[in-house]
Amino acid sequence: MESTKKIVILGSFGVGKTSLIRRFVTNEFTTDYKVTIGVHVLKKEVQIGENKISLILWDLEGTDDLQKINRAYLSGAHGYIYVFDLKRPSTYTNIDSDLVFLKESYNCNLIKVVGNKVDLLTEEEYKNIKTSGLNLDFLSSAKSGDNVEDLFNSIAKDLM
Amino acid sequence: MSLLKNLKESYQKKNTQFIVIDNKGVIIENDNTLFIAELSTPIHDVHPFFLSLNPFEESSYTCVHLDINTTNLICDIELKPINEKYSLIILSDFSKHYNSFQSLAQLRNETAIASEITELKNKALKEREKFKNKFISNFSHEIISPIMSIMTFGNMLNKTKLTIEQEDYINVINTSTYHLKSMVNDILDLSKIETNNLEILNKRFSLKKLISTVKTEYIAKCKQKNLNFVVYYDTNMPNYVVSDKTRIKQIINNLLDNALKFTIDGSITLKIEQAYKRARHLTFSISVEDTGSGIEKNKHDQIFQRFRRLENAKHTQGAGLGLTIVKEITHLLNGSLEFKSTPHIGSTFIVTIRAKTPLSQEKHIKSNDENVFKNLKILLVDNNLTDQLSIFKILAKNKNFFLDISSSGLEAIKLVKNNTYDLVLMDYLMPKLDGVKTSKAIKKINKDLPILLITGSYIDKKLLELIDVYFKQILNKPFDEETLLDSIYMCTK
Repeated sequence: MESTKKIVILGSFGVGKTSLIRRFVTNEFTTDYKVTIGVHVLKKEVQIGENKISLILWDLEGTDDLQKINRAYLSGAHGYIYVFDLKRPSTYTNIDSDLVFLKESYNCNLIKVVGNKVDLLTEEEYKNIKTSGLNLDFLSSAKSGDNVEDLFNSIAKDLM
Repeated sequence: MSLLKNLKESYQKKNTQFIVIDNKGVIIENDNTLFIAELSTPIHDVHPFFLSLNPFEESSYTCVHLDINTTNLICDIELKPINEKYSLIILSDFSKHYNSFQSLAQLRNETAIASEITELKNKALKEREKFKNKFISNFSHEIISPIMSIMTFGNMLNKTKLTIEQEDYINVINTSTYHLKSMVNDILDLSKIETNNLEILNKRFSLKKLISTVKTEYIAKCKQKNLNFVVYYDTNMPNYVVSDKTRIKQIINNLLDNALKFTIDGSITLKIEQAYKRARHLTFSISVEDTGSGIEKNKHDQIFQRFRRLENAKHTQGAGLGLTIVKEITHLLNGSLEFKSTPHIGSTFIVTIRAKTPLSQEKHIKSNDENVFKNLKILLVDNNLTDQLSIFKILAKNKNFFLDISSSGLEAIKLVKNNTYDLVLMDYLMPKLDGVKTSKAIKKINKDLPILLITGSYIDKKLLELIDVYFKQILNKPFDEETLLDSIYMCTK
């Protein structure tokens, strides 16, 4: 069985949304930061057991205010990936209210929260994040590839 | 009219592509303006963006990146259902506009991220600095009490009958302790300066007397190195000034110690000169000139850096903080610091201080006159037995004191209830009831009883605010006999 699912990747600017998608889709990474404006859409097929699922990944321009995003970008999504930068607290201070906004406005409960750039954390920072009580599903690194495949496979499985 | 219509069409045609799709997303008609897409193929084969669209729901999207074949487009896209079977897709190419916006966004975001990261780094540095200063403060406090004991008992031992060999030993102990005390004080002072905790306490004092004491001290030190020590005190300068005696002495000591370090032969000259005086405003300079090794011009900017020791200082003692402290204290005293140096000739450091002259230049009664203390009854509150003994020994030498000793705040409160005292010497850090809480309780029993707080910790702003509320004065450890007696005199006069 083959199906197509729209996944929107959102979060503040510079958190590594594009890098995560790029690592997942083409297994590449670059340290050069190129700002995303508007939306890039990419496709990647994932095999879950007997089933094949096409993830249509909407890579949105970074913003710290979800309400300013064009509704058409967010509408009709089957799942959301909320990415933040583990090294920049300003990118995860609004997580709870952002998640409430997404759930209430777009009637979608499949949201994965990802703390990216885990490779940059010191051991102490890692421990602090783990015990911070942050609403977190994955600690990932687009640079090393840690948890990137697992993140997208997990959302694909949840969509089956 | 037809001309305008033609122009409009030709302009729009350049930037806009129209595609008609059926209800399955298959391309029925296409003008191929921006990219070529064959008829009868699904639109989502052109780009995955179209996979998420519902052909029968009117929608519009701005700034969509479409990489089709080798063409990179950034378009605004509108989807308009025509009827039950067909929908129209309108793609307007704004690549040029969005690309120019991209450069601006890039700059904006990079600046915002860099600024946030700098702020976070500064915050982390400040926290580390705070931790370091707290550690230095605690560590220095712990080390100050034993230093004070060694100093007190070393001096006392020196006054007993000793053999020449024993005298030599005790002199080494005293010199090393003095050196250790200076280094701990330097580190503590620098730590206080960095945390804005070093307070300037302006009081009337005899600058002439201070210079005389310095002269006695440094004549001996210079003699050990076969150096001449010359002191000049400007005859126009008043004897008494209002400034911070401790800090001025620190500036002079540090400049002289620095000169001593780098002068092998010749002389060291200390000059105190009046620069300006009007009404009670006084500006004077302290200059220290040596015939030492001097400093190369390219190293002039390094000498005031903390922990910096130049190549020619490697054989000398010290943490390399002396001149840094002079610079910082001069700044706190609203003064200025200049220096000139010629290699192999020598250096001159000139500190200019703004002070005031007191209303009277009359000599006050001094605390070192035993008769000023008339049978004072003192309560010493300190949980540290060595500190108790140090203070006891100093006061016991002067026969005018009656001393009660208490090891805790609670016991002290009971003693104040049942006895009459002229003064309380109160330690700051004590278990259970500390110096501040005990003093508060004592003041409720006898609000007129003067309390002299003794501390090895920072005298911070919070503590300073308690002067006149609970404490007559605050005395910093380590202190010598004269300083303790002076403070007792000031609290009881």
